[in-house]
Amino acid sequence: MQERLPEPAARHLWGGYLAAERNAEAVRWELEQLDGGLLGRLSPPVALKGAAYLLAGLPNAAGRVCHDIDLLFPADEVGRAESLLFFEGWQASPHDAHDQRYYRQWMHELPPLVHRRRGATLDLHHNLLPETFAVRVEPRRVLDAAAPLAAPWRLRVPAPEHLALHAAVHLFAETEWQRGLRDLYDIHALVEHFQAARGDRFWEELLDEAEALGVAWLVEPALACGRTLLGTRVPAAAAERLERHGPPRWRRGPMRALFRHGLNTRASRTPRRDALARAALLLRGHWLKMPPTLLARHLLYKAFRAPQGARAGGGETPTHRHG
Amino acid sequence: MRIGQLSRSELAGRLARGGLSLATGPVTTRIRTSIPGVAAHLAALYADFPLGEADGIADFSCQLRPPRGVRRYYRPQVLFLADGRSVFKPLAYHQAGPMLEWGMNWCIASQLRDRLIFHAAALERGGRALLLAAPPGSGKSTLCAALACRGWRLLTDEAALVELGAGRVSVAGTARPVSLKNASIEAVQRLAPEAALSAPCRDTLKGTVAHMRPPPESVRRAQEPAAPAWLVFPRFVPGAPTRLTERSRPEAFMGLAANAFNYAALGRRAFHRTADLVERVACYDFRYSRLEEAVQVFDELATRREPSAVPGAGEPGYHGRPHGPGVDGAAAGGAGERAARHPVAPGR
Amino acid sequence: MEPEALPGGEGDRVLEGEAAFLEIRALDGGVLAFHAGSGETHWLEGLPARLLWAGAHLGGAAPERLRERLGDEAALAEAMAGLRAAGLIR
Repeated sequence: MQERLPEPAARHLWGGYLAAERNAEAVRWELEQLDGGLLGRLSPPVALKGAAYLLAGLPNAAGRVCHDIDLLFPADEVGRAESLLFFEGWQASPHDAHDQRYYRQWMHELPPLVHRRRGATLDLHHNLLPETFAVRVEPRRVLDAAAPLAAPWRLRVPAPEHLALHAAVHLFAETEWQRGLRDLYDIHALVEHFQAARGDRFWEELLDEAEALGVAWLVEPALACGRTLLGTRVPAAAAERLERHGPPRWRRGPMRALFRHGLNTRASRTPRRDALARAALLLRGHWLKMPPTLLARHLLYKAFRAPQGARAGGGETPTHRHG
Repeated sequence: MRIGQLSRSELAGRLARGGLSLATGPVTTRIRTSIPGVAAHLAALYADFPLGEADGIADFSCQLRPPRGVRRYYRPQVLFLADGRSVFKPLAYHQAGPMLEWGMNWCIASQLRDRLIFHAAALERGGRALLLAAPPGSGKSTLCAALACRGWRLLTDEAALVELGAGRVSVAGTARPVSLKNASIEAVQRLAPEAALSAPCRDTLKGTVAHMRPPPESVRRAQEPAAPAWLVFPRFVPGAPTRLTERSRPEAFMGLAANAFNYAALGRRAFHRTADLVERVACYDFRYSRLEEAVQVFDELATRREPSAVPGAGEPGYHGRPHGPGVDGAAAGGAGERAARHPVAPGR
Repeated sequence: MEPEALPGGEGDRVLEGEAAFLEIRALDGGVLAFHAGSGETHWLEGLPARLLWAGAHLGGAAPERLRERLGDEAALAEAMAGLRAAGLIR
């Protein structure tokens, strides 16, 4: 590949590969530490997203950078997991009382834990979607179907259909789409991989499970975007079944355009439309996440009462550190 | 074609249309802006730099523009955007020139992963490179400007680039203008009255800032790396006598790694490349207050045939805190800082 | 066995378990160890450095073989304690 690419482009890709390789190594080690530590007192947790792709050796793990580690616990164990991990150096990142309440009462995960010495971040989940989400997903189904990994791992990974569903649900219920293209590629690589490994049976299981969990309406646009942008192959029978879960015809065009612009990177030719789409997706994501009264309270708080630091946008840094 | 060959209106026109590709040695930056201060800054300091191909690949894509909102009518400001995303808090409008410099530094520090990048100045003489590694405020840029005015070839005052691939260890830089602050502006003017400095920009976050135009010879040879020979940790101490002392290699390693922007992101490759470099150089601590004497010390160093050997390290045992994921946090800053601090931390 | 007496340059497997994560280099009598899991770099001298170096030289050595290399029990224990303090082994 490097022979055909212009050198500057090949260099950036190689740099990306090196950083991803290093990231995978660090994630694997953090997972080993977690697996061999105090979490051994609880039932084996399920690794989600990047950690799961890495441990299961799935094709989308190559070149992928995980920014945090996600673990799923039964709801009655997640609090104990947090207390145990404290003794291994994992501390809740500073959040004000509002954010703490927001996470603990309404979300599907605890406020992120940060390792005191290494700065790595860890999310402890007790569900795949927030408690207040438009549909309630039963996490038991994911925990019960999770597959063990080869010894000596205690950690488990979700069943194939849950891996693909979580990727789709995660992106298409999301408020922030800046890593949308990566997330769409996850969906694409997972369904193609499992289709190759298990054939059409995989699609049946995927759609059965999507319907059982009540998230087929999020899977439909995910695969539609995958088909358009990445050429994801969806068997005819599955496509037909998905069709029934799509939005009504009059909303289909605008919704597709919304997702397509939301998936554009910052280097796109339509920056204004993309920005508009990102704003709309942010609202849509919050709308799906919370009942309207709670949403209004949360947004009002964020706009007027949040401390300055919490509101300062988009990771801007003071210039004086780059002299 | 060089920047200096464009008329001011051609330069401004290309900048406004986003067609100005600036080739600074090993990296190319595409710049888009309608702010006249940026065109003036480029005309004054970058005249000797070549233009990249208009439709070629640029490593970084930057834009400078005022923030949207009513404030632009009564107190205008400037933003620096990399790939369409603002990376700094806005600065006052008249600071567009320094903003461009800091923005380009940010791009190199946070967007290159294919080479090891040290927060260090680098200069070359007789085919051998001198690295000045130190955090901001240690007088590294002042010393760098002084040496560049006295016959050393400027590689960089800010980011030394070291290839990771196998083969000989070499240091490269962009040969971009040297950033000078406050008292060091006058110190450099006193040492080298012929040095071309930009008009001082006042009231920035760092006080008064001026940039020194790099010597044309350094710009012409900006593509040319050099083999590292000396690694020096400079420190400006007011009133202190000039003193060059040897530093043990393990200690120099720790000091250099702590000044790398992307050590954490590159892991073992960064570790080995840093060790490869430290193995090949003579390592020193350097304290100074008088610039003229400092220049002499380095001239003497350059005329010695072989860098002297550094004796073994002192106390046995374990040396303090681990040099950990915090390494490039100090240099990379902000959102980039968290990503850089640890490979498993939230990024952009 | 002094670090200087050994060929430098390659990082290698060191102690079982953590082996895959450790890279080491000798520089002027000190040994630098990079732990690729935690991302931490350590500078060791004296016994811990010698133990690390011996481990790398043997290619993923078990403590019994390292004991042979280092000569006596006390030296091994001291060196292991040093490595543990540095967080390089558990």
